[in-house]
Amino acid sequence: MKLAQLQDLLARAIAEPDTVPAEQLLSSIAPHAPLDAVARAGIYAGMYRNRLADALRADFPNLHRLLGDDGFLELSRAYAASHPSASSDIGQFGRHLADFLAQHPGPRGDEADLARLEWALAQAFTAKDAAPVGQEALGALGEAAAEARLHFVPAFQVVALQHDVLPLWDALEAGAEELPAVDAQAVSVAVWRTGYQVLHRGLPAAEAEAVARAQGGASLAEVCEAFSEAEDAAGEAFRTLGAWFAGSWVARVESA
Amino acid sequence: MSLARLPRLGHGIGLRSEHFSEFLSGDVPVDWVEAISENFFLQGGRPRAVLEAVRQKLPVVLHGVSLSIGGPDPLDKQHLQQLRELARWVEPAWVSDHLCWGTHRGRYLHDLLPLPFTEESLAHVVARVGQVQDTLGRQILLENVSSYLTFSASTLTEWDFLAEVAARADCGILLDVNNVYVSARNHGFDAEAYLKAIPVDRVGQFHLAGYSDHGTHLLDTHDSPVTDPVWALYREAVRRFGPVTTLIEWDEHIPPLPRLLEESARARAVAEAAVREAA
Ligand SMILES: [Fe+2]
Repeated sequence: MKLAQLQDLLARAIAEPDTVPAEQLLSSIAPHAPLDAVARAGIYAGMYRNRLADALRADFPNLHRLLGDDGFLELSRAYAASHPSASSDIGQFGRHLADFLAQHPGPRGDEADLARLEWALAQAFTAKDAAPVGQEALGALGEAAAEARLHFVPAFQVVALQHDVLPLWDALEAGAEELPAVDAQAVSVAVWRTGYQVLHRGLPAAEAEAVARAQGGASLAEVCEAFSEAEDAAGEAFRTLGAWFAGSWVARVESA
Repeated sequence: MSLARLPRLGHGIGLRSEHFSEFLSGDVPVDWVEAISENFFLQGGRPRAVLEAVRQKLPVVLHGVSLSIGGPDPLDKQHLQQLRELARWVEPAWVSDHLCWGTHRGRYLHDLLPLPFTEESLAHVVARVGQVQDTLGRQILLENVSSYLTFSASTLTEWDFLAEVAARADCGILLDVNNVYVSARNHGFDAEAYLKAIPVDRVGQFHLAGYSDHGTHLLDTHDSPVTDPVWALYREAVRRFGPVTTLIEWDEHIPPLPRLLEESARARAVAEAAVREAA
């Protein structure tokens, strides 16, 4: 058999073992006691399964706690079959897991959102560094600040979740026995990093709207309008923006 | 054609994130470090900051795991560009990867898979090593991998295949002594005969590592100390190839740094004794 055919055979025997008839392996892989060709290919197939499951476990520790070892391995297998690893960086393997779970929901129904949150946390950890600026960057602009635009650091992102899985994440993280019930309330969660610590918090509706405006390139005046419903609109806007700067979310203030 | 004379760097360990803080905070008493290339591709970020600090103090070599030099897909251009950028920045003593394949039609198997040892494989690998060496502007070292199967189509032994690749592609060899032992046990060949077939002037580096014994086969797991038979084979290797630059690989269940340094010190002692015996 030619090189390319042998590689095709072994690749399938590893990633889709059920599709490869034993005779094909027996005729291509040399037997050597005590293992025959099928067992030898099986060693590679087993390592492949474990390696991919390990990679997912590293990025989705709380989903793993929720599903347990067997459930998680099952998920990993089904996911690998539909989304083979497409990057030399095995850390990228889990990038479609949340979407996969949205199409194949688990028993609770909020597993996809938990996965989306954990993927965002993992991405924040490896995101490019950027030196954040403090609130004085805004003060320096004086009157012109109203027309300025904010640029967030690469490690900052907002994830939109269909279910509020933050209490679930907290409970799993703490190793709690009792898990909170499913909460079908949609929530926006900010995820960011300070130093090498990844943090997250749920955003109130007005703040989520303000972040979305800022990310969309709106001026600071337009961003602050997101708080117009608040009792003390100006104070609320001021305090919230202060928290963004204090949280190292802002990389740059661009003057108009 | 020959391998450019490579420096003998002594005894090193891998630059792993588990030990980043020790590498940053003080002097780690090793002669050199090996960095996994792909872990440092990202420009900026903590890994590069650590590597920048380490390369000021110690010689660094770059070791890749996903070149897929024997793979059926075309060489990944982006990967090669990233490797070139990293190598220009690090100025490593050398760059290495594995004599194997790991990708198939865009799918990454994240493994070091064996090749059939045939003329066709030889031609395929040799052409691709040429492409890599042209891109990087330097010779690379290729490492023998542990394997759990061999192909009926093979017409060459693994050692003759490795020696032929090095001669025809004019590249170096990273001889993983543990992998020689593991494959020898798994396929029933003589590990010392393997060493004797490898040309002395092509070997630029050794790897040592631990395996796990599954009864029917040995698995190359890098999760434990070097075993006695591998120490014995290492002594043979130093007698034949000289005190070649040696790395202890420990990638799973990574121990505290002092334990790793102890293992590296043992390698130094074994190598020094072998050099004295050979003299
Ligand atoms: Fe190795």
